[in-house]
Amino acid sequence: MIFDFAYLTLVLALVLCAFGTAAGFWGGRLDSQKAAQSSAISGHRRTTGIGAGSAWGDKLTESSFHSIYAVSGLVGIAAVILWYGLLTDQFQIAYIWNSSERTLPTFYKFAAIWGGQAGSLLFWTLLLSLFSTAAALTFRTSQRTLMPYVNGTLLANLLFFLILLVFSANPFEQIGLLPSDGRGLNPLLQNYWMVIHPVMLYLGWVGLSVPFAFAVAALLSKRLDRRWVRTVRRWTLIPWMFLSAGIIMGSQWAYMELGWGGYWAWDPVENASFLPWLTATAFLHSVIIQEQRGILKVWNVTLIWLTFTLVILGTFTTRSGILSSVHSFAQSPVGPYFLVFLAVTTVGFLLLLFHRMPYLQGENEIDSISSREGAFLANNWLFAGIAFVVLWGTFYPMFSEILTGERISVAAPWFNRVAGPLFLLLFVLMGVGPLLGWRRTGAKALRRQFTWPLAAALISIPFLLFTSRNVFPVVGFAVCIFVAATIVQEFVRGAIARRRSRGEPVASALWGLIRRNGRRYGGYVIHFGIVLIGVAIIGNEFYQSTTHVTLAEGDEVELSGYSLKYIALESKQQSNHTEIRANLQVSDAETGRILAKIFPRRNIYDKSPDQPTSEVGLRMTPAEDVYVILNGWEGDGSSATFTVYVNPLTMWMWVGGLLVVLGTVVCVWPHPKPARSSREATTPFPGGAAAGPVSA
Amino acid sequence: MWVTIALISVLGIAAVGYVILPLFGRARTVVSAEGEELADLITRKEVALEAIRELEFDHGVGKIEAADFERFNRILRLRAIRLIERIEADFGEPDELGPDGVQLDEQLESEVYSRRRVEDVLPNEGGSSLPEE
Repeated sequence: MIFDFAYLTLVLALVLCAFGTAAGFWGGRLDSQKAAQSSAISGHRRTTGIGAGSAWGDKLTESSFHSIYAVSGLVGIAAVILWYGLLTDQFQIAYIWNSSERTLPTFYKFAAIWGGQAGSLLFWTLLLSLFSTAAALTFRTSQRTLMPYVNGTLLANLLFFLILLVFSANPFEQIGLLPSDGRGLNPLLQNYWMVIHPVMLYLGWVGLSVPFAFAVAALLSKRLDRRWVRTVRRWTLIPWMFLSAGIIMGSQWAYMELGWGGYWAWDPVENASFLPWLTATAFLHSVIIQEQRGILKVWNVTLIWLTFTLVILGTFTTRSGILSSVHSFAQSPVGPYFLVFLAVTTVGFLLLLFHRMPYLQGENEIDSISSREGAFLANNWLFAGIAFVVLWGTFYPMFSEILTGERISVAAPWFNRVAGPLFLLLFVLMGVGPLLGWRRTGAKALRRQFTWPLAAALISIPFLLFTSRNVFPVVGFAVCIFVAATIVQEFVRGAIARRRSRGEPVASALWGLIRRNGRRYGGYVIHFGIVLIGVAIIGNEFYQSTTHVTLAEGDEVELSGYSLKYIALESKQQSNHTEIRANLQVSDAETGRILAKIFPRRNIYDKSPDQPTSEVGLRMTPAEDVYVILNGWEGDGSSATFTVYVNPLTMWMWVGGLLVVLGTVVCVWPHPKPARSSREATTPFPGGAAAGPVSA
Repeated sequence: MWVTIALISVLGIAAVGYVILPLFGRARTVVSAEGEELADLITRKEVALEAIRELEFDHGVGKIEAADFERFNRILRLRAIRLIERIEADFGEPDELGPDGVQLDEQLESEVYSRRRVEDVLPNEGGSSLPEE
């Protein structure tokens, strides 16, 4: 009964969503028409109050706000009921039967809502409704002109997902009998990273709908000034942070769980999360240029549309099964729905963009290429280039099959070869950009800014040549050192300048610098995190060593200065699976000193015995990881087969990921604002949450 | 089954009632073109003040040479002054600003009259009239 009720709440939400979408767009249209009429009649801005004539516009807009809140509540009720079903083993529900089992730990039962198709779509809808509610509450009065259209766009987006839930992927579908147990959650998903990683990705993907909605609203209302970009910057940064965290956590999961020795395989599903990250990152940079200089308006709305489109495309890729992937968990006939939605949003947006071209003219020009905006522009080209390469490589197998009938896969080496140099250039720009000032940096200033970072990079090269004769890692590390040096220099010079002007001690000057210029210095922290990730990638790509070996009990193998001794095979029964783990002793090959004991293992799940999962044995240090995969064993454990990797510098990838999140928090953290006049304080403020000269 | 129908009916009536309620009430928010324009001008003024601050900071850490700093500073200050003037002219008497604002505004005010004539010959921002900025 309760599940029928839950399904009907989704139907009710769909109806209200459809109404709210129409109310939002119609309300916005009435407001716009009235504003245009008033301006035309009065011919003077002081007398263009919309007032009573737009009462219907206002009422419809209010109704669209109410629709968002109501839809959120209804979707929330449905989600809570599904969680209740999962936690209480209601296996008469097909989704729960497919995604859970009695012995599944409660932790994973809770997470099973995003472990399958219908549940994850409901979870997506829930997050989208919550983001929509947050945006509606935040900008209800401060962005009154844009909000009807923002509401309309967000509700249209919600409407699509509710249509999916009601007509194609009903999470409350019943199987007509009550099975004694469920089929269990996909074993690959039974990992702590899988509890948090999808949530982060969803928060990132879903959150990016808000800036898209603002872009659509700005186009529809013809209010394409700097207000909407100031408003959405923080609302882009927050989802971007979640998306970054989700990607890093996904890499950690792949590293620990998939057991192939790496963290990133350019898998279509990985690429699906990476593509919107690339365009969102480009947007976050280019939007600053629009804010500062009033240029790149077409590019910015295009970028945010591209980001939204890539989110939907990625979701379609993940869920339709058109591309084979190591983790296309959920496949069902939702693909055509996504394609139609993609086509409608693409055509609609491009038509709108075309109609609004006259309103999107740049207000200025770039004064000089040796300026921060010049560097940002180049960075945008590179991001766009990398996004194109990744998109091409991801979909090439599909295109090749359509055109030639033969599916030609594009593997990681192709991506590394093509995207690698572009990333290197991007890193160079990451170092160059912060050294340049806005508008123009003259030759003398260039010399002053570049001397130390360049010297640091050049001095490092002879030392780096000791580590490898291969030019790529040497250049790669040198570029990383250059970028790191620019960041250090920025902090040092900023602190010195502040100290000089205010006479503060160094620590206070640094703190004040970050407090007052959070956007800039938070950005540098993010850059430093990216540098660390780059260091880890170079270390893994060029310095990794590996061996594949079968060891009898007591046997040892040596690799890169480590000795690994196979002690024994152990077996342990857990609630829903059996752990088979090898006991390995890691010691220094030269001195014989014991460094650690590690336990690579295989989990054999009761419900999926033919799908054992791998949990790697790991000794992690800042210098390198000793990473062991248990491939197989003799029946009694007298011998076992392992793949052993020594992965240099991998730990810095996770540290870098943490810094990226930390830097974003610094960027979005509310900073002290200068006092504003009483009139400004009472004016519905344009910047909304992003207001203030030093805020993000 | 009947309980489900009864429950969803009650919920449905409540939800639909909540959503359409504003249609039967009075319009609460009056959006004025005046307010929108003021908000737009305030944004532009804040962007200009932010740009001045960034420029001063960049100059302080040696990224902008003195001649460039002078030129860009003059352009940005002019823009900020014109925006403040316009806000005051179109939307009311000048009112009090806080400590930061006072400092900057006093500086800017002192340049209003002396630099007004320069704006027509400045490149880019300075050369274009305000509505097209």
